[in-house]
Amino acid sequence: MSRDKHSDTWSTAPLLRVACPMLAITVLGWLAPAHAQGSPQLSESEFLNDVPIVLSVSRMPQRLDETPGSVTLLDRAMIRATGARDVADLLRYVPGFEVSSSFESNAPQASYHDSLKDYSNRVQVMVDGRSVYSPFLLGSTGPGLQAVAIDDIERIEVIRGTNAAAYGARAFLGMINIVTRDTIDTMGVTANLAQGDNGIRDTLVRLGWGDNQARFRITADQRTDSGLLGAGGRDHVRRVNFRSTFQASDKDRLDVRAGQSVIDAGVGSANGGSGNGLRNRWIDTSFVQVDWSRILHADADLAFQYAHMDESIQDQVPNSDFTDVLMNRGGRASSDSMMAQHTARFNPSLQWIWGAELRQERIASRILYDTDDAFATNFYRIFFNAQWHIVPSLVLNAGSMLERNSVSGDTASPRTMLNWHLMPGQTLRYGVSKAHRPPSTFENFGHLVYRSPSLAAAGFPKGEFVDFQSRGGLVPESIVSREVGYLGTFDSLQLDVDLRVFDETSTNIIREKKEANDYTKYFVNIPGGNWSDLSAPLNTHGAEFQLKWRPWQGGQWSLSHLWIDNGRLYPRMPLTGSSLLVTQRFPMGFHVSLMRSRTDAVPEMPNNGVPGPAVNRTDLRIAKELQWGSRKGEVSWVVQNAGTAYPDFDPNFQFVRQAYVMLRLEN
Amino acid sequence: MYWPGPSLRLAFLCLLLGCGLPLWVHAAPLQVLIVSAERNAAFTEAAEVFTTELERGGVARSSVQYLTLAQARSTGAKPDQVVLALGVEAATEMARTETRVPVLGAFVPSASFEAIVRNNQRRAASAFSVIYLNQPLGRQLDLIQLALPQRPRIGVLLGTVSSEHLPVLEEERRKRSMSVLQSQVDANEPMFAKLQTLLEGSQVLLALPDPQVYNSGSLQNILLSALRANVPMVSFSPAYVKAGALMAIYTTPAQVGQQAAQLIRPVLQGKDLAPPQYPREFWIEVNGSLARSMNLDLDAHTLTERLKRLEQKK
Repeated sequence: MSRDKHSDTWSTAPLLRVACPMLAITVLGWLAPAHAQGSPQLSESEFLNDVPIVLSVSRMPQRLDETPGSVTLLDRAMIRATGARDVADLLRYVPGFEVSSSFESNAPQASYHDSLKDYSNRVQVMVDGRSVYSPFLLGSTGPGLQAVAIDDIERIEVIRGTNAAAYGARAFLGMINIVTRDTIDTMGVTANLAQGDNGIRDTLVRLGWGDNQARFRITADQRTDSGLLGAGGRDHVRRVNFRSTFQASDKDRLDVRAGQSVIDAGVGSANGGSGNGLRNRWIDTSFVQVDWSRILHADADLAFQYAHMDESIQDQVPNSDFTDVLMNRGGRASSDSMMAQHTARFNPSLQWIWGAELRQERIASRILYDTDDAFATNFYRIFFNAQWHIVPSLVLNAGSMLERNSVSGDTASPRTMLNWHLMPGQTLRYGVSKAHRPPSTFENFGHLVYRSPSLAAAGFPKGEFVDFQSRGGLVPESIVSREVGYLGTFDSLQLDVDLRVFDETSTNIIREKKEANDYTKYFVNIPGGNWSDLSAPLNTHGAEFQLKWRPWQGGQWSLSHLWIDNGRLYPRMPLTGSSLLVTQRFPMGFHVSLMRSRTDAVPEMPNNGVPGPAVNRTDLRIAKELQWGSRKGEVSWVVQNAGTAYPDFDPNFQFVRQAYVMLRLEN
Repeated sequence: MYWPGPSLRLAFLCLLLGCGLPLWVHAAPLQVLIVSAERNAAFTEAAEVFTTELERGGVARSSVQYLTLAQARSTGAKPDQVVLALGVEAATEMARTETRVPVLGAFVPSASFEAIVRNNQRRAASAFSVIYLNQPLGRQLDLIQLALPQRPRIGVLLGTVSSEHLPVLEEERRKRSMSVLQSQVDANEPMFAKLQTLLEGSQVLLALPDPQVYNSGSLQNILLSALRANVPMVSFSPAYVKAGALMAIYTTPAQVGQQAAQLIRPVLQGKDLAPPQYPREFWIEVNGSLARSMNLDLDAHTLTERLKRLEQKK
């Protein structure tokens, strides 16, 4: 398909793919019998009769001071207070994260304790328990972070540190778990409209309907702006997401989700030469997800999930030098996943979760693999985790993921974490975990070759330019992560403290390599992962903390800071990063937020390899709640980067000051 | 004077033994009739404790009989002194029946009792009284203050039935200087939006019995929404605690039976029936798993004792 066809209008066929099941589900919902509304009569049965179990063991909230790792929780109030327009932008407030607003490599992305250069493929992204990690190319968090409208998000749980024991290979350094709002919380009609500098034009329409037994939600939105100054042009993200919830019985609940997101981004540059000219890249992702949960009794339940995802990439690179060379870097990826898990509480002190997942990923791209055949990778996973209160003040979390990858073999990712409640509100945590990241399909099998008579005429042997050719033999990357954590709650000061001191040692890191006299690149495992010292394992260590302080009524201060001696950077250097978010509620429904974030200068910028300066950014949001009878709304004014422009992802891409106004109406 | 011969005397004796003895056995009068529409575990336990308590006070077990409404109708059983009606249906039936003996209802919510009295024009005080099934609102507010002092903002979702409690709720709230946010849902109005608004402004959700608001269809959504908003529910039934509420305050069937015996004993001694009253004894159930996961330190026994002490001081 041509670039223009997709850049201006919604693509009909992919939408229909999603719309058909949605329509069927909607009709089913309308046909479902409405809940009988009898006239109210109070009898003794209201007091004496049993009622269905709702909060079974897996639905119980987990205490942050008993989780096997550090967790940053971004709730709806905080998400709204930041004025962020996408998830990647939000993650700047999580200690240890580096974020970018650039669509240049694929979509705005976020990495934890890692550089952004490698598509941030060492962090897992989940939406409602479904992996939205993009397996195309080297793997990426970018498209997944754009999977849902920010207004549909209930909360984001960011697990800082490896979480492969629970979610497998991709949660190598951390995990971003996006939880969307329940259908019951989004009944009625909601409309958002934002307009501002730099071509910002975001719109959202959401419709929620149903009753206690069956509920539905459909959200359509778009996020549009002119992109970073100096980057490839306008960036559009268009999404439609459908979710339905059926209370099939007192014990059974069925959730059906389907959706599509289309990222249509201007990338490349006018002087990008043959390989990176100005163009639009089009990433179209659609999915269907079915979750069935059954409460066996208060202490045990079962969950099943099936998910299917399709990803289609169109990237037609203009080529003025060799016009007969095929330069479409597109392709297709798809995945199917089936998962079952059982959660049980043996007694008040011991509970566990165990389950299995079968997952297949298929990737096909003529240009990336020099074949039309699809490469399939099967993942067979068995996981378990037990939480044992050895004594009330000592909690042991122990578990492992056993994973068989049909291409790169078997791995085990165990984790042991001990949480010790020194006294009420004071917890120390110590743990060790191990994780593996198997090579991506491109790292294993990539064969990027351009062929044409004009290349032969230009002196390339056989008329071929082999940009990349895998040499095979790659083994999974490994990491051993040790951490000491502290969680403190000081009620009298209204202060929460979360401190993590970490030591992460990686081996067999996969890096791109090129021989001195050859232009063809390939991937190799580097024992140390760092070109400066190939023999020693790569070690990253440091500390990070976050503080939450509610000094007075309606006010909250959130401060985070990272200090890291980051062996992943070359040359190796210590880095710091910090963020401050101050929110204050005023009378008459006014809300004011002030955000400040800072990251150190880096030795290499993601897209260019040249040093990047320290970045300071200040954002401001002023909002006023609106109310007309039962209808609610809000008008807000947001300034992003109130200071001077800073380079983002590439020294030539500038994030300049931009302001926008958003109107939100709820009925 | 004629005196029957030996054979006739024997025949008369046989007649006495054959017919008269059973009559003599039944001659113990039916003093107390316990009646309910059906037999269930709660009613049976309450009736048993009630009977045992009366027996302990000198009333013969045989003078207390527990029948279902259908059995009472078919046998025409009529007690000499008092009826204990368990449940709304039995209380309603007894209110309609022309009986000269006083009737004490139990397991009857206050709103239902008031409706029964209203519809049957029966004098509440002397001949028809009740032990309410629901707890006094003040007791429920006291429990929240004791158990969750760090959560002073209470939300109450009211339907047609429970909104009758509003004036009392307001009065009790004012006495304790507590903040209660209430939201009323009309009969055919979807409650989702009002529930959301209520949860946004509340720190504890106080559930009051009302089938329009709390039923098996709605409970899942209410509990899960409350959990997402970090608002625990304090309820009126231990079943709700099993389902996912944080706490419930309620009176056990045994406690109902005991209180009923205490109220009926004076009637058997010829005194008037006590006026309608709330249960004196109560128990608190705590969802230990939920309390722990919300980092709340709650112990059912300690809370019950503390609340009792607080009431004694008043």
